Amino acid sequence: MTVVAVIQARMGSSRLPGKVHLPLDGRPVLEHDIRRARAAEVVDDVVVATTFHRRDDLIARTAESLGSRVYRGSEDDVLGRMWSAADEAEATTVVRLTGDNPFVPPQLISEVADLVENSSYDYASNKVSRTWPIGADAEAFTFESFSRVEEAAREPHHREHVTPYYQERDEEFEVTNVTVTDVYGDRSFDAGTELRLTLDETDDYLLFRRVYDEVEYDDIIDIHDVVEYIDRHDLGSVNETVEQRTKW
Amino acid sequence: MGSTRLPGKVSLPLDGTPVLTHVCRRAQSVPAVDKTVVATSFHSRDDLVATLAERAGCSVFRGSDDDVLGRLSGAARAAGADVVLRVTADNPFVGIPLMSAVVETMGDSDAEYVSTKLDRSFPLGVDAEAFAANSLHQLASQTTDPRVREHVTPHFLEDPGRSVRSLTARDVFPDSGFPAGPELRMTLDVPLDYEVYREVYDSIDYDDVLPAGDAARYILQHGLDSVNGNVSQETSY
Repeated sequence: MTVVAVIQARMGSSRLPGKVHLPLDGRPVLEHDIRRARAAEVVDDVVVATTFHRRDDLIARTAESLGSRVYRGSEDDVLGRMWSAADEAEATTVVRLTGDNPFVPPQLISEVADLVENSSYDYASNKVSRTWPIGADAEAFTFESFSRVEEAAREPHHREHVTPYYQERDEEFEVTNVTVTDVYGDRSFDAGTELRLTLDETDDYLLFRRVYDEVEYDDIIDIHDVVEYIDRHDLGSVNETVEQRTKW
Repeated sequence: MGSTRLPGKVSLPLDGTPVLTHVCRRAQSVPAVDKTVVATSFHSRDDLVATLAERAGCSVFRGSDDDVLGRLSGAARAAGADVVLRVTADNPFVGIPLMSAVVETMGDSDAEYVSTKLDRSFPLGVDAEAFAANSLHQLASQTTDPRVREHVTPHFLEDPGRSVRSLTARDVFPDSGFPAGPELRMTLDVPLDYEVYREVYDSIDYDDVLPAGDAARYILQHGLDSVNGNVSQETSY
């Protein structure tokens, strides 16, 4: 059984080009992503899935230099790129992460992966019914079900956003949701579902840079400390006007 | 931010500081420069450029993405410039003595354009060029040549009607010369360039700005020119 975290990342972004290489506390966003995936104990292997375009050469080089696998595929067909990356890494369970989320808790990654790897669920994530900040996101699915999705999903939004097919066809798949309380129990927190911890625009970056500069941490910033810092300094509003383009 | 080979390159960190911030500091450290303006596009993808520029103490002018000539002229008008020292943000080793020399030569002569690009003697990316603001405005209001609108410089390199002045390494460094010539690449276009410059910035001690000559010597002594030496340069303006 092999749990493979696949991080999708590319340089092209209409609002913040090259965002996965912006530094947070001196390290590129992509390095934080990879560390977080590795810190989840159930994860056996990490693959960065980027495109074959030369503008993504730097992503491939950064990922390799950090000891991560690299898979290069289509820019538009993200579903196909992720499936091929998972296939090449011989995944039995796939964890899908996106490169623009430098605050995903390793505990959440472990929880979704464990539900898929060790019980009968085809798909587990925190996105079925939201309780987490935007961008504190992880999804896991069996490679077996993902292969069925790869074959059947033909709508453009399926190919671009990878997992909507699971949620649209919940009669075909065993789907489950993970809440903040499921992961943290009596250390649960309620930051609402409007807090943005995903990197899309300059305002997001400036907020994250401040958090990474100010909050003390050891290897990985705890999301409790992030939420507490943003709340204490009333910073939740600095990037709230950023319009989230998709909910996937 | 919109680069085909290295998107977002001006915000990449060198020694923990974005490339754009290094370039701003270099321009600001030229004694003859009164004001430093970052001219970027009005597109939202360039919002971070504007923010980094302001934080570095520069003014910001936002204009067209593809009409670089119009944007440069607009920025110069907004700043009330007489002389325009043009620096591109993908050159984190642009030479400070070169910038000083072209600006001072502009002030001492009636040239419309003073540049180290007329007779290349410096590495690509170290060069400096200055324009008379009036010549730039006049060109911006007249030319329809897309190559000039995008790269500006070709007009001054090629139009025999312009009054130009060439400076070479011998003019700028009469005693010591410069450690490398135009065969060395010191501009940021592709990931291999970034890897070389990151090593240079991590390895050399400097205060505020890293001298281009020190960087060139380091690259040659450590054979780093073999890392990005084969990168094809799309333009050399």
